[in-house]
Amino acid sequence: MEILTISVFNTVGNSFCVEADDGQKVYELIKKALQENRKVKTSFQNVEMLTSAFLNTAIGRLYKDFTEEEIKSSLSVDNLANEDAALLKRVVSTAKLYYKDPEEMEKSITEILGE
Amino acid sequence: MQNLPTHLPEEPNVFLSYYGFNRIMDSNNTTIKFLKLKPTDGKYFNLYVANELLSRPELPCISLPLKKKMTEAIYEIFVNAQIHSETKNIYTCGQFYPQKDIIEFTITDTGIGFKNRINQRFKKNLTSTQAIQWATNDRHTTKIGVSGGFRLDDIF
Repeated sequence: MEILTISVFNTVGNSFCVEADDGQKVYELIKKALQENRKVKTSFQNVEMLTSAFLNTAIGRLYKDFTEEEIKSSLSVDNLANEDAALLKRVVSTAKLYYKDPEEMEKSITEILGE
Repeated sequence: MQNLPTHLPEEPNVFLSYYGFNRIMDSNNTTIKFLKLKPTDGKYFNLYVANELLSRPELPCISLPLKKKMTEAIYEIFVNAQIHSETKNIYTCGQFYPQKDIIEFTITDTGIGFKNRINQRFKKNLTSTQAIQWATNDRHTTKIGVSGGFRLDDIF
């Protein structure tokens, strides 16, 4: 099957991929392709700057829509700088925990209040 | 700002010129100019950071990865204000101190603050201290349907 390459730089139109709204554009393209059972390569070529806000929306949110296995077998990333790969890894592990237990935020608030 | 004393000196980073004071030349070229942005002005903020901070020869000699991480933290703070604060404007400015190898850089919003944001989201009644304690914990976020909440923990 042909792999669909999604260029983050072209999708955002900028080498600074920092805003959640821009992450949303990438998320929608990946989500659509995965729903069509396509293999996707997300290319970070020419991307100079990434934030967690961008990656949480672009990649992390996919864990709400797809299983870890589906994502692992169909989505790959390319041309990601080492330090950005570390950030992405953290985004992914945070997303897995978040969508596994959506009530955790409420529980943590209760803990802070000592209830 | 109405009660500012009139004997304040002229200043070079533009801030006081918004309030009727004269601007002077930054002869040492060490200021990062004051900027008032709308939360939607992210692209302009990118240009500002690139021109006013990253490309300046006055920036202390630091490694490229460290420079990138420092810049990333600045963007994280801006984006946090953009997403969470409900502010009308975001204000930013800074100052280089070349002899001390220090940069002071400020990003401020006039939004609803940690306490109101968290209490609105969870319909609770946390104090400001509790709200900040909660928000600076790893993986804690007020976003709905999107994970996050670890960079504030890093920055603090």
